[in-house]
Amino acid sequence: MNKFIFGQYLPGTTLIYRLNPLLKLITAVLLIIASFVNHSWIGFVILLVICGLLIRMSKVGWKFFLKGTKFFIYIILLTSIIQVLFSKGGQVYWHWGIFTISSFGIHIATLAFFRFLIAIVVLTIYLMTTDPADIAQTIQGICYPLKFVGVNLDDIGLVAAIGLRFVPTLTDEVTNIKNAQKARGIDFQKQSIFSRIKSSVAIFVPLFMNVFRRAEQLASSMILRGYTDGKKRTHLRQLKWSKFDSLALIGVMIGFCGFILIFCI
Amino acid sequence: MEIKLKHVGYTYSLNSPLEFTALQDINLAFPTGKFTAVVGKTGSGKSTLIKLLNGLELPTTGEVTVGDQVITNRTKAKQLKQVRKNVGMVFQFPENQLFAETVLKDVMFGPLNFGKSENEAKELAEKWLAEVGIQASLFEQSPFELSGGQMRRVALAGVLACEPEVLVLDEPSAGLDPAGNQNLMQLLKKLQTERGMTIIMVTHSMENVAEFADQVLVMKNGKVIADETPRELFSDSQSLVELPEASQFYLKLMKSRQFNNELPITKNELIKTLVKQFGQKGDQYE
Repeated sequence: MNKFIFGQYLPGTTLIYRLNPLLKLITAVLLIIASFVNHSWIGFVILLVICGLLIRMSKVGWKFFLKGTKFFIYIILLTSIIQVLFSKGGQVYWHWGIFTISSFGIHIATLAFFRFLIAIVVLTIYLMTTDPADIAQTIQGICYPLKFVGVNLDDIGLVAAIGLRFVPTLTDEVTNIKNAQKARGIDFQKQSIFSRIKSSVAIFVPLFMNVFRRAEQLASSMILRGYTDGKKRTHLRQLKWSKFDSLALIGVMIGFCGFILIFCI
Repeated sequence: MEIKLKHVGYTYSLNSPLEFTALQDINLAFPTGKFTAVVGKTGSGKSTLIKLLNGLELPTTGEVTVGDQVITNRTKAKQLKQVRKNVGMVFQFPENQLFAETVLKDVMFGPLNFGKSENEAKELAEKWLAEVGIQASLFEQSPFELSGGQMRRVALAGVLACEPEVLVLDEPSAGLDPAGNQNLMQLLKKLQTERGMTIIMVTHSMENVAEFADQVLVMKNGKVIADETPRELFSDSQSLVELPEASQFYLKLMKSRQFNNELPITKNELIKTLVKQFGQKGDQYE
């Protein structure tokens, strides 16, 4: 099983799961915008508290959440450190060769760190608590205007839904193939880059063979069940927009506008 | 080479919302040179169990002993290579592991990984391809041009060419026709009897268990609920598993379990029993 939880859906029943996926997407985008236009420390504290509340609401458990996002937190930390070392301006505290630590560098690096941290946390929560099929449908809904310029949205939606549906299947398949090759003595650790690339061939060739076979079978079974393109499609799962969603949206909008007014202007 | 499991437990995604205990307190031994079948419903932990036998998964608790090497959850990846050389593993639908340009190169992949020279690997590959019944004319073909049955045999040769002492197979005959199944099972039996290999096989076919296995493990909800010979298992009146067709046929015929002779478990035994019971010239049949 994978420890990497970014983008993985965890089925659940708490409030955050029952909200309309479009509302959740809007909220996530607004939170990210807010963190990117914000300059004040109190603003970041508020946003982080909101993130914390959302993690709590999703009931996935702090430990699990941290374990899953650790990788991204390291990456963000690394970029921030690089930013500190290479930015010049303001008061200079330390200087050696091409490296400089200055007040300006520290300031923008900290800002960047919090912004990316909030973005990653918000996106992880969104993807963890929203069914992939609903995400696909929501995105299809957002792209609705494109229909008037001749884009076939039903096909794109279908492709997106199938793509998301097969992510866990293919993850399992990679694990299986990897195990089979490990049993034949492949050693992924302790190898030079060159032989690592060479041994990855033993994973990717069978994987692609399987993907093509699967795609062919899926296409046949869709045709056999009467799928044709170009027809107006209805959806098995209707996304409902409840009164509560409207209220929540109004709340989110008010909160967002208030936040912008207080901290960013 | 003997494999022993002591208080072995295995949990997937420990400490996460997806936590799932697949095995609990398993204690057993796979004796050297024996053919052991592992049966049980889907989700009973069979596949997890066999992944522990060559270190693809490390036990969450307890220890697995392969020959003289002990595997626990603290075992380092480096130490597992020798275990993987000794314990060959054939997964479900092993044809999915084929990748090289030619059949021969694919079979050479394993031996090369385990440190054999190019020439030695080639020799091993040719020897084992012949053993599984692949003609020399196919050696230079792409493995993807072969038929399903041939691909499976090439994949099997790919594992056997690593010369393991123990061979573990996960439903090796799934999707094969009856003749293919029979060929494969006879090959496994031959490896056991002629080369003294230890065979461990997960299967759903009680006919194969009855005909080929020396020992059978029954798994249920992550626990081993029976570890005995096929005859003991099938003769038990509160049978834990579905009986082989031959036994089912005989029980239906007799309408009760009240009979003097042993319950036949294979087709040959059934024929012999029926001839003895109902035929007049039983010896003529033999």
